[in-house]
Amino acid sequence: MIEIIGILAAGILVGRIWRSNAWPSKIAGLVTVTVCILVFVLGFTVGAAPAVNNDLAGVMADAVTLTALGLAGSFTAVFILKKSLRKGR
Amino acid sequence: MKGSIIVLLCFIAGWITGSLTGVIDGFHSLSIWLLYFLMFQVGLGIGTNPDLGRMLRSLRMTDVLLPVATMCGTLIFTAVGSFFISRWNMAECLAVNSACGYYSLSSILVSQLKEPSLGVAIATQLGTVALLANIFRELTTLVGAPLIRRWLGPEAVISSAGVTSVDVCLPAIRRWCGPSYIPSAIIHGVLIDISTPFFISFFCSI
Repeated sequence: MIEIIGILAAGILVGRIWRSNAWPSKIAGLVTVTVCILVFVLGFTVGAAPAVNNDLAGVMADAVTLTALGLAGSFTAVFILKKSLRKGR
Repeated sequence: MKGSIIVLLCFIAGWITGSLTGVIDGFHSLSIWLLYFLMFQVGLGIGTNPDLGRMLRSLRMTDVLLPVATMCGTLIFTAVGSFFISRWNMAECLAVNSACGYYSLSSILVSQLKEPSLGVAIATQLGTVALLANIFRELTTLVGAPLIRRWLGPEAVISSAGVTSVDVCLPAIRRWCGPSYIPSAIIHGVLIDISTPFFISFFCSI
């Protein structure tokens, strides 16, 4: 965890210091390429792991349930926020 | 939308390759270094944003409260709902959903950070759940934006988009909520973008 946060913070700092230069934006622009390679590696690991392949329906069901929970929570919180802001006026 | 499809195709290509070749040594250390590089790139992207300082200075209370509401609502509902998901514990469910649509980063971070405690196979499975759950969130917003706008209001569309309110879902927000909601959507996306790595790392560490 500390490495991840540290590297993120270092990136923000480097980006802030050299923001007038072109190279930090160019490196940041390569993020899609890095993500594609990493997602390929993730897919590769999934394909090479029989435990995942054998339970695809379970993985999909968990993903759908978690999406529904996240969206329902967001909608409820926004509804409460709007109500309380209206009350405050 | 195009970006999500490319990511999905990369995942499927990797999946097919992996099922044909089986496990290859050295792949794990490569992915860790790529992950560090990705985090550095994400940091550079935040740091080099020319509007970051101006946006942070011009923040209104409602602009800050909307991402807070999105995050709190998502986490509270996930925490309660996790009791109905037998396979994953509460912290694992929270790690998946705290990404708020940031599927690329969440899938990779979750699978890497949970590997020491869960093992490669189960951590990969959780990473796949993170990828799919967050892609579904983005797709739901893109497809359902007009209905969400009509039934729950424009703020709900921004909240539903999560981190993608600043990029992929921004055109849909502009179209269905109007241009006046663009600053709110950008601030919402940027604040969730900044907070996501912290939340995922935290929930993976407990």
